[in-house]
Amino acid sequence: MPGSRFYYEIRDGGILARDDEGQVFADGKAAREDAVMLLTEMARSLPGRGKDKNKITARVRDGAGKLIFTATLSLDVEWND
Amino acid sequence: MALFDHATSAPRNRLLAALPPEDLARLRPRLEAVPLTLREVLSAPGKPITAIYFPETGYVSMLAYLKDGDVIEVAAVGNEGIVGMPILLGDDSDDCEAMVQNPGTALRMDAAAFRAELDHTPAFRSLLLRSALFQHRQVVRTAACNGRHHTDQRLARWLLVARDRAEGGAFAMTHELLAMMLGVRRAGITVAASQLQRAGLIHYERGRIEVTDRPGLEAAACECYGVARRALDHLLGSNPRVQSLRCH
Repeated sequence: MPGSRFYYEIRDGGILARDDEGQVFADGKAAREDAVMLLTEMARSLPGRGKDKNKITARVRDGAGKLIFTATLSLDVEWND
Repeated sequence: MALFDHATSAPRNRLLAALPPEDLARLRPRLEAVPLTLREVLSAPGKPITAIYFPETGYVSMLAYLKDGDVIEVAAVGNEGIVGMPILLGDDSDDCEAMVQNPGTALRMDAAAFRAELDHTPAFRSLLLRSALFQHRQVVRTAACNGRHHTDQRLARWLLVARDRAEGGAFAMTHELLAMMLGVRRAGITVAASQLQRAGLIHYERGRIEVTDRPGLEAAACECYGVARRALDHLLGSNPRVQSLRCH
């Protein structure tokens, strides 16, 4: 079956989760789509924190530990005063 | 496993256990004890339903298949309900697939015999209609919950429900399966489960989950867990036989 195993590390300031089992995707592009969807899903929990600066980062590595891409979701509120 | 080896043993399905004894006695010859094997499909979308299942242990997922290939659990049935609800409500098939997610046992009844019994026995029909309303309310509640509540709250709710149904403390579960059941990315489950584990509420290792702080997990869950528990108590009333079957 085609595809390779990719490994997530998700941070929000500190580390939120590191996936040791990995997940199979057809290629880096499929992993990218998953990461973007993941960050949009995680964005739903941001309102509960009440912080003006928010950043969630998903780093994805291959089986050899090489970093393939970093996806970042930022949501900032700047007060005009 | 012989489930009716004694004529007066109470059935482990809580709906059957809530029936008047004479109605249950008449049903027994039409109930066949069957295993529920992992990933077994009890009914396929759009295909005629030929049998009704009263789960005794284990539980069954109702799965919706989306065009893009995603699969989402839209309802779950354990020993508090039946699989095959459309037959009760006058239809012969369902949009969703009924698949065994946690193996166990069930009592199976032929669809034609079920229809006959509904016509013949008012107490049976009335109890099953109330059960249909309960299932409907669960789906309504889940729709609201999915739309609003965060993954960690929803995961806590789901784990509490699974724990209620599981025999023994820990139960088997993978992040993939949880992702499908909650309709989120698998990595989102990894994050939410890590959160619950860091707070000391669960312990997850090699595909098995143990609830280590039940009151804490109830506090972490959205209010939907409590609402569903109370609705189930309301459905089954204060029948003493039913109360003795309640899972802890």
